[in-house]
Amino acid sequence: MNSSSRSEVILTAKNIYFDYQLSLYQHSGLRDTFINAVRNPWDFIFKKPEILPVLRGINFQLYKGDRLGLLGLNGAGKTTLCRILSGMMTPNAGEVICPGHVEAIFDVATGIMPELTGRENAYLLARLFYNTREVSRELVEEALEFSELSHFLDAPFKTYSKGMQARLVLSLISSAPSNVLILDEVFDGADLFFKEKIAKRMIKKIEGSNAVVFVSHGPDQVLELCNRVLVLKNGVIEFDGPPQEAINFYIQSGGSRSFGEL
Amino acid sequence: MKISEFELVFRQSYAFCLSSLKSRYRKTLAGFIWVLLNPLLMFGVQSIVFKKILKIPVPDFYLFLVGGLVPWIFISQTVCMSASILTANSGILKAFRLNPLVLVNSSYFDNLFNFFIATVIITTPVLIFSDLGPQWGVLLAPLALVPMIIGSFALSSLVAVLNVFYRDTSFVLNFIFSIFFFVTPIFYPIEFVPLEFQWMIEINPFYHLINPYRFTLYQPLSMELIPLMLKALGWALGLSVVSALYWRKKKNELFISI
Repeated sequence: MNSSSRSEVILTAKNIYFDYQLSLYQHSGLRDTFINAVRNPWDFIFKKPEILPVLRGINFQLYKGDRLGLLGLNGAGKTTLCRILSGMMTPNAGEVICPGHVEAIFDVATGIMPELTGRENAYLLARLFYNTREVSRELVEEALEFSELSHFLDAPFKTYSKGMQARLVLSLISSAPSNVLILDEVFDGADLFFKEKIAKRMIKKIEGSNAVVFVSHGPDQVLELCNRVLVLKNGVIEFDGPPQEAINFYIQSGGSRSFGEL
Repeated sequence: MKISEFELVFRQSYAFCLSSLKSRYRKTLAGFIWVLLNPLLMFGVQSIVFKKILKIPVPDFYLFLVGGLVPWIFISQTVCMSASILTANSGILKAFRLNPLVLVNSSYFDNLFNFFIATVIITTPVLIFSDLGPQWGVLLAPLALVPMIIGSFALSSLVAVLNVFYRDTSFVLNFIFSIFFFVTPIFYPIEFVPLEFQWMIEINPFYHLINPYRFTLYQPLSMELIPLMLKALGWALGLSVVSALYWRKKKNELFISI
């Protein structure tokens, strides 16, 4: 069992199923679609699309104080689950019940408006990321100072390296605690020095948040940041428990390849 | 306190749109001139070609043309620009939770702001120096724009999602708009279209969306405006329903395909 308090449920994932059409991965055009429809109208109208099940009956509750790690091989459904928890996507069946806001970040090397400066992007990102009415100036300025980008802050965002972009975004998203915070492999973009610095700050943010969902391929990060881990395989939860036991289970079930890659 | 999805989308769209305008007007004068250049050039060239060279027999031709051309440029530019808005910003949409509608809204309202500027700067002098001068009906022009705003927004959001699944949508749109420019009575009145072809105009949404606005500028105020407004509203609502249904159907698939 995990060490967190189980008194207050922050989020409930109830019997979530999700699948998608394989054809969605093949980008086609109106021209190709038209040609296919003319060439084989019967198939075009009546052929059932191939469906790939991604999540199959996911059930769990997130309690106050949970720092939940998600482990699973590529394609296990981790990111899809996070997107559903964050409200980006809707499950085909089941539901996510969360009375408060969910804040989620899946990529830190992204600029909103490349033509604008890093500072202007930070203010815009703060308004888009924090789902509140007002975002204080102090919050953004403190994050900018933490990023140590100093005079680069007034340079256009498009001139930033990937590492600088990650610094800015990570500093900003770690500024204020959240109700539920979802972090999907977000430390990978930062350089080594900043990774250590931001990890300390992120721990503070995580401690101040009601609950955190954390996706990582790094066992050290999972052990350091999480107090509970779910192991996903082929769209189902195979293990739910303390981090060390989860990592052992994951390695035994073939997940060592994923750790080894990093 | 949790804020509603509607309020969130509104606030995010507002923030995004302001930044977008700031980005566009960074080089203030150049940005401003660029916004006016396209409609000004189009109006100038078409005025010369159709009035002076082809000598189209339409009274007060400059006012007639500006009433149709400026909204047409707005619709065609906005819809074509919206087509690639989601695919061009796929990084942002994949990075954190952001309703894709925020991007469409931002692009749309950026263009709408430019349309209002272009309308005031280009249309006002033409209206003042027209043969009859400004009529009372012009006061209803903002109201007459409502169906066009709703309809063009619905079309913009529809093609934005369509382009995620069919990546050549924006190319096809350019082609479609270049055809529609000639089959829509923009630089000629509907009376020029032979009776046996007028059904083509009846099923042309662009004509109906633009027509009430042009009527308020070009015709004396009369009850004829009401059926034009009703037709335009019908098209606007129809397009909105189709767009909303398509968004709803494709909401999940959008994040996979983008």
